[in-house]
Amino acid sequence: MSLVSVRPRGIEPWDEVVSRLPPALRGRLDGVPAAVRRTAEEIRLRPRVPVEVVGEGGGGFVDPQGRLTPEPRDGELEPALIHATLERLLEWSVYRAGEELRLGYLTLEGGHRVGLGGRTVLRRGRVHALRPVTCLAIRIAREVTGGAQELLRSLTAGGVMHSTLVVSPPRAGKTTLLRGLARLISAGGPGLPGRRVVVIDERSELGGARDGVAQRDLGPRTDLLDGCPKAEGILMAIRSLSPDLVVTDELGRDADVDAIREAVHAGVAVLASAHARDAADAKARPSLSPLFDGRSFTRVVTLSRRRGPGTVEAVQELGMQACSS
Amino acid sequence: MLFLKLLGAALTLAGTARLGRLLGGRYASRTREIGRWRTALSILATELGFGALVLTQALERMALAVGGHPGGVARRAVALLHEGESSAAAAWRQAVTEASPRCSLTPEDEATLLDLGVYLGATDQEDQLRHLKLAEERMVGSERVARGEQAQRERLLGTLGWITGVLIVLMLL
Repeated sequence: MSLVSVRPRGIEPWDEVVSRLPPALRGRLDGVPAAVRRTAEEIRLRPRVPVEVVGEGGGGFVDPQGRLTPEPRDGELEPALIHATLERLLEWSVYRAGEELRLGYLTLEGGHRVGLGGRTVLRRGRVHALRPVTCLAIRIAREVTGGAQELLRSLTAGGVMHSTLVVSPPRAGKTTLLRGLARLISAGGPGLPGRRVVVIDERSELGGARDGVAQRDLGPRTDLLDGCPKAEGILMAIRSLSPDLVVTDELGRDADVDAIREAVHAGVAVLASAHARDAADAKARPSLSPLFDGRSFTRVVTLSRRRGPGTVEAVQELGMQACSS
Repeated sequence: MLFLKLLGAALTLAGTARLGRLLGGRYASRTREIGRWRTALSILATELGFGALVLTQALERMALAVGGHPGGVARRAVALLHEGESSAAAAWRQAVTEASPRCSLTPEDEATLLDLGVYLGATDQEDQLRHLKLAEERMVGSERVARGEQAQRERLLGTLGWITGVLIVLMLL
């Protein structure tokens, strides 16, 4: 089963991202062929190297005329232009992105995530900041439907909402699938009443929120806690928003695990994602293994890019045999 | 004839007195402008620190609240950021420099604003507040000096205007 891309809110994700770049970069990227724009997943900026476009439908390095070449040729980026791009993406407001910058990413309106590289500044042995930021990996977020609908049946089998962990390596469509499932569960449909969903969106990727208002469709019965740490958010949601389902992205800290156990034992289903190649890998991660006790998560969905981002490789019922798609 | 002489003398006195007041008024206008900048910087610190607004919104709010020269500079900086690929520092520098011939600030006051521009929006919140506070303190110092100069020179120039007028009248009569 593979997930299908659709256009969000009438504007192409590529255009949404490129419109935020400085004119000098926009000029180059405007020449990229439409077929590549439609399927592009990342725009990468590195010093002394031309802009790189990465995607399923082809990609390459962009020369000053907007032509794609498989190897870097003309159009090397000056570090100053990369810095200007970062400033512009931050709306010239570095002071608003302190924690995100420390963690090496920022999220744009619309849920597009920008990964950051550069020199790390350490304080007491821990990363305190990235300064200067020299590399940007802009990941283009896309709305996906279709596969989520099919998956929904196995996650709500028997009229019960199963707490589910979605695992995959990076760029396999976890966030997109979570968003799609949140929307479908919130909206409901034949045989599936709409449920109250709370999205805990620590990195603002699921909702792509602006000033706390989701820019992505998360469904009509969904409340959003934007920019909220997962562990705190889950507990806040249970206390005050009475959800049927809590949705959150990229588990990995001990506190997240504790909060998920709290939710599950409070009768709230959890839909979450984590980085891992498959369920076995996820179980081997010390920070996630406590969740494989058969009581926290009862379903594990494994995604890959085998047939494009969002390919569902397996849906495993914990303690039971995996049923492959 | 006497009437014309008296009229000429009166006009001369009025003219020189007015000139004296005008020259003295420049000092008052500088004091007012610095005071406005002090308020503007304080508003900006509030918007960046507690409002956590993006820089362009914070500048627009500041412009709306104080108007005058600081408002003009803020609005111009926002326009420059929206229309091109300026960094915040470059936009601020251009806005301050463009406005400088139309204002009463001294090169030292202008340097305070240009120094602030280097950091505007480009560092963490704590650092932003520190630089805004520093600029505000420098403006407070400038305002104190400007008030002193205003008190001294405004009266002096006013009196000089009258005296000059009297001297001219005496010479002409």
